[in-house]
Amino acid sequence: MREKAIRFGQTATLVGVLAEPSTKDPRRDRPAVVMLNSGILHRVGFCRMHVRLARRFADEGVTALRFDFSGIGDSEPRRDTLAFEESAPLEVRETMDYLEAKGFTTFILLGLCSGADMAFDVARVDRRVVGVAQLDAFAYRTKRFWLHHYGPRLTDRAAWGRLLRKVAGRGPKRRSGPTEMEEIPTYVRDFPPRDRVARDLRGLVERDVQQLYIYSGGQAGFYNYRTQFRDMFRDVDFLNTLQVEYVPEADHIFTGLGPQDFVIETTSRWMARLWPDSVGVPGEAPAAA
Amino acid sequence: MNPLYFGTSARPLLGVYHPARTGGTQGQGIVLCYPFGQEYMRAHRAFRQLALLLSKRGFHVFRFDYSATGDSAGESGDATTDQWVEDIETAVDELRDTAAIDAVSLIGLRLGAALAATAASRLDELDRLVLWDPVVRGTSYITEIQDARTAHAGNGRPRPASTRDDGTVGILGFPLTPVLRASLEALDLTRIEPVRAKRSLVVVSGERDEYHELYDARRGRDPAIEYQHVPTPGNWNEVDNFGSALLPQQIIQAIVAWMV
Repeated sequence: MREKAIRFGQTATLVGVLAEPSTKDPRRDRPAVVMLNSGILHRVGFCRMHVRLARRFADEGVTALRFDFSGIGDSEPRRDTLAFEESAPLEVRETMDYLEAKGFTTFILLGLCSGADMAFDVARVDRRVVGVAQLDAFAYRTKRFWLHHYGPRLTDRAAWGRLLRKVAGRGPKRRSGPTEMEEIPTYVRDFPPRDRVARDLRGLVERDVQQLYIYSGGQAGFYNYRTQFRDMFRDVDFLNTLQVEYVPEADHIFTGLGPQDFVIETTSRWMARLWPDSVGVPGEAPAAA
Repeated sequence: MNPLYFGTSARPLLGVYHPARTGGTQGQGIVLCYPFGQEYMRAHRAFRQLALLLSKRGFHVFRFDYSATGDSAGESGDATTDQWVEDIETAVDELRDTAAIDAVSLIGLRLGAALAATAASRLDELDRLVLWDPVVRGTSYITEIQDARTAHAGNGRPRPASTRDDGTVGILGFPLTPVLRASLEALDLTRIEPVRAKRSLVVVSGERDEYHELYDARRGRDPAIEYQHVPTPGNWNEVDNFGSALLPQQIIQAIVAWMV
């Protein structure tokens, strides 16, 4: 594995790190992985996970590029007035253009949270994308979600107590929001309408785009049981394009060491199964610890 | 701004070089020393801004990721403080070679301050040394980051314990191995050798007894040390679901003003 710091894009202001297999002439007919920022976390990713993933992929024969969107990490802010929701997909495509000039023709996009949203946004319109790995992607509450959400509370004496205190205005004070000295992402996460996503998912299936979804327990307000994804999209026939995992013990940025290992092993094995010439030994993913 | 890998081929380190944008202090360079773990994630933006402001004031600035952190080589579990201090010395050499400078200063935040001070006691004479919200003793630092792990996870519940069989503990997503823990426990800024800097500054966002203990202890060994309290947020070791960054403008401006 070898890594190179690069500047690229139309104005050479995007900064990234290219991780390549150490073979003299890495194969270009395998998809390259492009990793997208989550919020304003810079390109090393949540808990340095993009670095670990990129090195794992490169060790297994797959080129991976982690980079910063304009204004995030080390990439300079854009000089135009495009909103992040507009500029980010453009920059993902610029990144693929950069890799295309190096001989790659197909791509896998990987991201957490807003990174997952951008991966999906580009995958649905750019035919070069053959795979998307999304962590804590869009989620829609189902009937069973509400059952899981409220069911345990109905028999929980403490929950009733909290509700009564809340009604009486004596509940615990929530942590105040970010201070003026903190910078939070300007991107407001608003899941697109479910029907539109379902339509886009059918489009991905038609193009045989492979999809890996990993949900943490950190999005419990939207996703709270193992098979929720199937219930969210009962009207989509995914054929053999879908793998969904649920790691309830993980928080949103996967701070647990066990869940981190699970994400790496699961993603690696997903790629090994689907692009068998490219990565390690297929098999069962380990249980999340 | 130029991102690059430097150091040896066995242990390449990722650095970002900000050349001086004006000629005001040509010949002077500054190496920025990051904190560790989630504090590093949360400080990345502040460091970029500090580097830009200093380069606009005529300094050549270099910030870099220690071994086994950020984009630099190494597994997260392979870190030791001795290696990180050595990395600072390598970064100083890199900046001297790149920018052809006469004088070098170090600015470190939190654990980066402790590492910078340790490096400053070994390096040839530095121009200046800035210890920003410094980790004073490794033992209290370990307690602090462990307490942060068990604090609420943004959903009102503590984060679950995260351990490996070898005794490694996950601290907000970053492994604290027994080896790293032992090297941290040996850190004590009140006891290190005199630093070889012409001037030093302890600059803090909030008052703590240990900062005064540090100042008092260092004053005996480093006569040219100063102390500034710039009230600003200093909650570096905090994680939320936004992945928010801390940008304490007043203290960044105070550091730039002191350097000029």
